[in-house]
Amino acid sequence: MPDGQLQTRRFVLRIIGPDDVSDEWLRWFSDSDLMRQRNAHAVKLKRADVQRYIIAAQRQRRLVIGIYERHSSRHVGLYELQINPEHKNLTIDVIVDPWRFDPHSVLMETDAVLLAHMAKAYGVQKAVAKVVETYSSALRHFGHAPWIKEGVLRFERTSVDGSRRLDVVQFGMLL
Amino acid sequence: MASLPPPSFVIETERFLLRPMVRSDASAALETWIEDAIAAEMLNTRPRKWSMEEQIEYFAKYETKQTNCLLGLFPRGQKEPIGLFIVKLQPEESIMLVTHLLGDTQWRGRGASREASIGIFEYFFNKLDYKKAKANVQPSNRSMMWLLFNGGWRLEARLNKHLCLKSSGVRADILVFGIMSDEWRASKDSAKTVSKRRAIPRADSDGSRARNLDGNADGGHPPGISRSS
Repeated sequence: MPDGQLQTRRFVLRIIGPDDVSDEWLRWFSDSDLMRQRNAHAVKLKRADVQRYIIAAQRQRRLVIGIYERHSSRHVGLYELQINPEHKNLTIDVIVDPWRFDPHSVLMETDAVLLAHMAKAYGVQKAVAKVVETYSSALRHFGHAPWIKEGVLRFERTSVDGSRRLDVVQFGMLL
Repeated sequence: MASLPPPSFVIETERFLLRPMVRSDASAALETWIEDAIAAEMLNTRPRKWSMEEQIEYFAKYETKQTNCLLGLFPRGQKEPIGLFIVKLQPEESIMLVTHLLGDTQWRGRGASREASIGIFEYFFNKLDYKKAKANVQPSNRSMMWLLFNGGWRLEARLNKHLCLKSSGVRADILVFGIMSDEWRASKDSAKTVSKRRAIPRADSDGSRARNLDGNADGGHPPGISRSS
């Protein structure tokens, strides 16, 4: 990233290192409503837990990129990116603080800058998002152009309570 | 959550044995398998003679990763395999992605893929408790689509320009098919249109490709199912 960060009108994007774990991040993962949408258990993480997660992500060549508000430096959300070098595809997962921001509005602004950077810096040619059916805010975002809905993978995940299987909607965007 | 298979196991069907390939399975008989442009494309590699050294290297890659199974399809009493299945497992989600190549062209159109896949699905669905199988198919591979639709599979997604083909560098669409274990059990005995011949295969006297009983050319594409994406 140029100067280690990317900027949009309202936000700054930068790779998160182990020393960048925010209180907001810890709060999101303990938020039962948000985690239920993401089909995950709410957990009270300690800073050291997230630091270990970031180190593991770096080892597995996953990029964790933070979204920060420019004027306040407040942590707004995260992208987690995984590149498939064989097919030059980039798989995206996102989380945006839904209580203080409109996720779709944030991501509409940040997607374009981030994906243009990933195409230029890493040569990726397609972005892919796989969204579990319960994650309504992500479905709303990826359901808009320039993202294209490519299909519904039936019963792809086990629900977090183990009671049923959930569909995953797959979206794509050529870069 | 589904289970992982042990490092060594054998799946038996009426005519075949399926087991993990090991380095010592490298054979001159396999050298022609990816000379076919379409077969090579299915495995996302360039068409060429598949040298013994390359086979050994390829088989070795699968020996250490328990979630990726490379299964050879061996006719009973035969040392060389006639095809491969690659089964990539996600035990935490109870999902498997199946790739198949019937490398020995003489066996195409003889029901080998169907018989072997029944053995595979019985093992992974019924013994290891996987809940869903997926297969990625190129839109041009009509023979495989026909087999899948006949077997109760459903088309779940068309991924636009999702693959970067090594042979040409162009990006290609891929179709994602899926079947749940209970759907497979229900449809297992209903695919009546796929022939299953008992005779040992031989090249047709006129050199034409084998055809199944419906007259559909089954050799136009090797029924290689899926590919990693």
